[in-house]
Amino acid sequence: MCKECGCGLVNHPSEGSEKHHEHHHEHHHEPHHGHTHSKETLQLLEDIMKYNEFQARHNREHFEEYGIYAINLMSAPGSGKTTLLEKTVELLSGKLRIGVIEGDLETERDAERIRKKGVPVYQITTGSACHLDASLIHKAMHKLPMDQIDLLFVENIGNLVCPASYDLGTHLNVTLLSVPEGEDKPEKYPLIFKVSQLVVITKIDLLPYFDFDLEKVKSQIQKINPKAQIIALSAKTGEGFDLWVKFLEDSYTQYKKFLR
Amino acid sequence: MHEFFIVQNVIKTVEDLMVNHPKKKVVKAVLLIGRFSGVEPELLQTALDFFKQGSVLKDAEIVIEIEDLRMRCQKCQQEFSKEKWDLTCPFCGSFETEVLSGEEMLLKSLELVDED
Repeated sequence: MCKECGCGLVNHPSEGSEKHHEHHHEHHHEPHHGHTHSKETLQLLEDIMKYNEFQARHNREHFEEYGIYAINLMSAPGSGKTTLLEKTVELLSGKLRIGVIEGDLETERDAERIRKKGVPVYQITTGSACHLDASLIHKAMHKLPMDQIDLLFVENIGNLVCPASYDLGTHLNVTLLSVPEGEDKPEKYPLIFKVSQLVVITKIDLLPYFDFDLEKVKSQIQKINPKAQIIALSAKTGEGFDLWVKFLEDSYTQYKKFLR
Repeated sequence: MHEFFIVQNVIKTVEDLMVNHPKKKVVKAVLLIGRFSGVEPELLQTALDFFKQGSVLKDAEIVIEIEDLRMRCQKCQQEFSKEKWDLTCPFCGSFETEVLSGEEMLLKSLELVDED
């Protein structure tokens, strides 16, 4: 039984001895050819990540129950996830109610910054873990006033590698790429760009000072993920934020239509 | 560190399966890992060989098979494999390609014998 919500579904990989409900596997035992020895081979093709997948699906059901549109923000450390969130909270104030789950190895610093903007925040500190997974999100979401949130942002651990492998149950994956990181990042870390429906290029006020060819980066991202949308913006000058806000509002509206 | 979490999931997957096979032990586990699954096979091998101690896989030889990235172009129907994650079709340049393999993380098979 799920401790947080009593929903009867638990798939925390590291916890408990309960079986998940949907466990099914087909065994094709090799014939024994009349031998008396007891060796047998199970042909399985079991998904190793299934515990996370189950939990992610469960999270999504929770979000949909509350009509929350959940967004997973991923990037390298220092690309501006928290700054993007601070500004987004300001711009959406009075339009959409925002909630935030912060993921960091240590400190409450990012949560403090967001809290100052007057929105509910829950900080997950992972210690040494390099990514958030669906079970961490599940625990965190029950600490937030779910009935008072329209848009829930999950600020993932700053890391361009591991977060890409974990579905959190959110509806949208967004990866930030800041101009100072360099234009070669999509090519070097394709997986995170491949799983993202939106790529936000941040700090574009710095374009004049870096060898960062915006068009080249866009076409690079297109090769990795042809369906990804791309928005370029600067929290310093505010350029591009109209597109970002419109994207969020449109996505939310569409989501609400889908729920109805 | 990521590989450690995968190891935990592998062990849990095997533990769950072994409930249906009492008095058996695993002597071999074969994993199928896509080249673009986000996991480094060599690190995973090292992590598994280390963390299997004391687990249901303690007596098991761990074998990792690697699956290449294979795609099919939906426009010209050609199939091809790639070294890099790049979804462009090398034959017609289309982006309308589908991934056939190379992203998976699967427990392919287990070999069991009677417990001593």
